[in-house]
Order: sequence, then structure tokens, then C-alpha cells
Amino acid sequence: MSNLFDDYGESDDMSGTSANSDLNKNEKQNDELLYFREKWQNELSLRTQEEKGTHSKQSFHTRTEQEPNDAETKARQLFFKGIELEKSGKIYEALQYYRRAIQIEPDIEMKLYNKTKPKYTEEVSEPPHNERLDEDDGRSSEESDEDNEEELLPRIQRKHQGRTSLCLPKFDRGTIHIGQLPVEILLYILRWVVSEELDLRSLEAFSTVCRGFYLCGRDPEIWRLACLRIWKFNCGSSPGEYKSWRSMYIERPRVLFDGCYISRTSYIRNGENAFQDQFYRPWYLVAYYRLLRFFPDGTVLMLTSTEEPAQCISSMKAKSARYPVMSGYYRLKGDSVSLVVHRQDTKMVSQGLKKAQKEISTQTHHMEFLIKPRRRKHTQLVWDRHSVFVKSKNGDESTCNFELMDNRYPPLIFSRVKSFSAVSESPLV
Amino acid sequence: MPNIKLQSSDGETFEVDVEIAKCSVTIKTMLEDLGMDDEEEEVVPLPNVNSAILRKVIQWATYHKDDPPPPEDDDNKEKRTDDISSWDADFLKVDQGTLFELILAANYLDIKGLLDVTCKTVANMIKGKAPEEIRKTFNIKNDFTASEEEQVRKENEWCEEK
Repeated sequence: MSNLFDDYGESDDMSGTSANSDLNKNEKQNDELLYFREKWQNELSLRTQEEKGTHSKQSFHTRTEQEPNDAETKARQLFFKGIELEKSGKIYEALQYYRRAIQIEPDIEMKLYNKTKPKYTEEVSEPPHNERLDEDDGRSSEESDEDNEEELLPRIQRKHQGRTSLCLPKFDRGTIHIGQLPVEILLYILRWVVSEELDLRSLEAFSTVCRGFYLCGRDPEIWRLACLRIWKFNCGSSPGEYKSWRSMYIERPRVLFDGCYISRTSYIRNGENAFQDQFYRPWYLVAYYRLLRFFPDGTVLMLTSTEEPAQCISSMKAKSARYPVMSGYYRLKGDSVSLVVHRQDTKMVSQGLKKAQKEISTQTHHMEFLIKPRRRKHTQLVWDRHSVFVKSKNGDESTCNFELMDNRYPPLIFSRVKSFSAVSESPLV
Repeated sequence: MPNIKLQSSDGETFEVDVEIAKCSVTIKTMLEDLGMDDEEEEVVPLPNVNSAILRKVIQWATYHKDDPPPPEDDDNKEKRTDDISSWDADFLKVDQGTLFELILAANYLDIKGLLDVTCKTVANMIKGKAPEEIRKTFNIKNDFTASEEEQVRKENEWCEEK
């Protein structure tokens, strides 16, 4: 409890009336004071909750703007005086000052806390709004060199404090502007942007637009949900070894979703001797492509085709596979991914008047790849294992393990397909 | 079917079927909590919605009044979004200001379906665009300093194709 107040005491550069060095002395706790603080903090949190209602943001700001700034300065001074008195043990007097400060500015504690807190953590999802309305509101060059040392997120959070809207219109058109939407709605829109298909690339573009959007785009909850969708039960309850959920999403080995992994295999096949010319023996260069597409829900599609990828990539767009696309599922394990893909050969059989599909054989591919970078992260899949289990129509079962010769099993390289992430179908939940 | 009257912020009154009005959770709760069902002459004031927007909202709610409740299983879901999208797409061919006002109204009236379809529309205006295109689309002032912008670009470099 007293830590909060010590913070104010220690950062003595923030106000002229503030603490002297003797304020750092520990003071003895007093029951009544404790009770008062609790009551007061309850009241404060109630007020803030009320103010967090949907449309309240604007009203909150209008209120602060209308109030003369010196009232707040006065409240701050009273509050510091209270701290000073409390530290020197004069608890009853301190109470009087706190009470007066709160009467003038109910949020004074939060405001002072925000102002004196040294750094914002990533967990702050929404910029706290406080009294710093004196900020510049345009592209400015007030940067000093030490600013560049600091991490960008807290710096922008600090600069954005006190803004009434997330972003400003470039031209005034007299209609409602996107910056007038409440933050929680904008964050909900961002969940639609990211969508179930995890289009975090669009989110990153969004965060490059302006400071307010940058803060929304760094909302840890969105990144946490994205991580959860990829690693599911292995995701953990905190980013752990990673700096943030966002950095987990970027760094931790995974597969990419907004395109296909493609390899081209070619080999030479000898042809038959020509009938008329016994000396001429043709041979053919055969090239085929393997395409893999992963979905965040664990589905994977595989296609082996002799057509150029540009021609057959459209058949990989929908999750429901149609012949010749095979579908299956995958699992991430450390820096590798294992896949199980089925192929069912069916034949139309007439049964009286009805036609029915009859299964004649099944093929199950088991594949394992190592996820490696190639110019950027997670863009290369290197073969680690490939085996096929075949069940033929007469019930024979056989398993075949393939030898992974380099010329038959070149690594699959990722290539983005814009249409895969063009439209959002459902929000990230 | 009983009707109720809804009054927009600019004073216009709309008479609406109770069942349609109840797609707004806000209105539904209001009616249930205040027991307003039987009062024919009761007018529900909606101080946050103007008449132009309220008219659109009622139009949307009337079209969607027979929609099945959101299905639990995924199979039906895909079909449903396809069915309604073309009407909604036409409905949402409005200027951006109106679109945002519809979002605010859907949020205030607590109409999940309308909020979803409007947010989705905005989301699809954002998806796949470069930052400058987003700025242009939504008329946004770039308030980054040059060095900040450079730093953001570096942070977001991981998803750029090389």
C-alpha cells in the first residue's frame, strides 16, 4: 500500500511543491488511514468503471477540458502536501489534504500515478488518459536523442496521453471520423481484421498509420488470442521466454497461413524407342509441384500437380478439399511440424437406380518437416520424414518409408497468396 | 402484433413491431425491466440515435427479423453468412460517416448482428492495405515523427516480403 506513495516521494522532479528527502522515511501504518484509503480507492474504482461505459470517453474528456487546469494543479499540490504530512506521521492532517484534493479532482491519485510511473508495460492495453493536454498534435521534430534509446511503445503511449481521439482527420469533412469510434469498438474491428485466418500482417500495416492506431495494434489481447489459436494447449498462460505475446507470435516456430509452401521436383524419365528410328531414344523431363497450405485451426491441404502453381493455387483457397487436393491435419512440435494427410480413391458405383460413392483404397501420408527461415522467419519446410500407409480395396495394408533424397525432396518454400487473406469471414475470438 | 414507438434524438417518432424492436438488447431489456409492453402510448426515447440512422437500423432489423438465432455448429454458419451478405452489402453501400454512425448505434442499441456486419465491412476496408492507403481511405493524419515511423516500420519488418 505504501509503495504507491513512496513512488510519488521518490520522483521529486515532477512538482515544485513535492517531497523532500526526509519523505522517504518509512512511516508506521495506521488503521484508520488504511480504512480510509480502502474506502476511497473503492470509490475511485467505481467512478472509473462508470466512466468506462461506451460513450463515456468523450464525455469524460469534455469534462476535463472544461475544468480549468489550475484546479488540477491545486489538487495535485494538496495531494502532495498530504503525502508529505503522512510521511512525517501526521495522519489526521494528511487525511484532510487528501480529502480536499479528491474533492477537486476525484481521479487525482490515478493521474499522479500515471505521471510518475517510470515506464508502461505491454500489459497496458489502452492508454490511460490524464491531464497532459499540452502535447503537440502533429508531426514534430521535438525528438531528443535520449528518446531514441527508449522503447517505442511506452514513448508513444506517453505522447498519446490526454488525446481525446485515437487519430485526427487530415481534412475536416464534417462527418463522423474513424477516430471518434470508442477504443473498444476499434479493437473489435481489429479482431475482424485479424480474423480466424490470423491476418496479423494487416494489423501491422494498421499500426503504421498513426500513433493511436499503433497503440491499438499493440493490444496484447489480440496477440495473445492469435498465439492461443496457433499453439493451443501448448501456448501457456504467459509469454514466458518471449518478451510479449507479439514477440512470441513473431519468433516462435510455426507455419505461415497467408499462402502456400511450394516445392518443385523434376526428374528424367526414359521413353520408349520410336518405332521407325531405333537409334533415337527419347527421354522426358518431368516436373511436378507439391503445395501445402496450412490453416490456423489445424487443417492442412496438400496438392501434387504437374501444373504451374499459379494455375492450381485457386483450388487451395477453400478449406474443404476437392479432388485432387488432399486434406488432413498438422501439429506443431517445437521447431517441426508433422502432418497426416489422407487420400481416398472413390469410384461411382451403381446400386440399382442409385449411384453411390464406394471407397476403393486409402492412402495416408505421414510427413514431418523442420521449420526454417529463408530470408524471413518460418518460410521454409525441410523434409524430415515421409511415409505412406496404403490400404487397398482388397484389404491389404502396407507401409512405405521413403528415403529423403535431396533431388526428390527439395524443401518447400513459402509464397504468399494475397487472395487467401483478402476478406474477413469471422472475427478472432 | 403490438407496436411500440421509438423516438430519435431529433424528435422523430417511428412505430415499430415490438418483436423487431426487441432485436436491440437495449430496447428489449428496457421493455422487460420497465414492463412497458402493455402501454400503447409509451414512447421509447433513443437520445443517441438520429432519425436517419434509426431509419436504417429499423430497415436492417425488419429484413433480419426472421433470421434464425446464431447456430452453434460450424456447418450452418458458413452458409448463413453467404446468404445474407449480398443484401447486407447493398444495405451498407453508404458513406463512411453513416457507416460509423451505424456502428455507434448498433453498439448503443446492442444489436450484435448489425455490429458484426458493420465492423466486418470496416475490417475489409482495412485488410490488405498499405499504411498510406489506410490513411487515404479513412482520412487520417499521420502524427508519427519521422524517427518514430522508421522505428515502427522496423518493428513490423518481420512480415514484409523480401
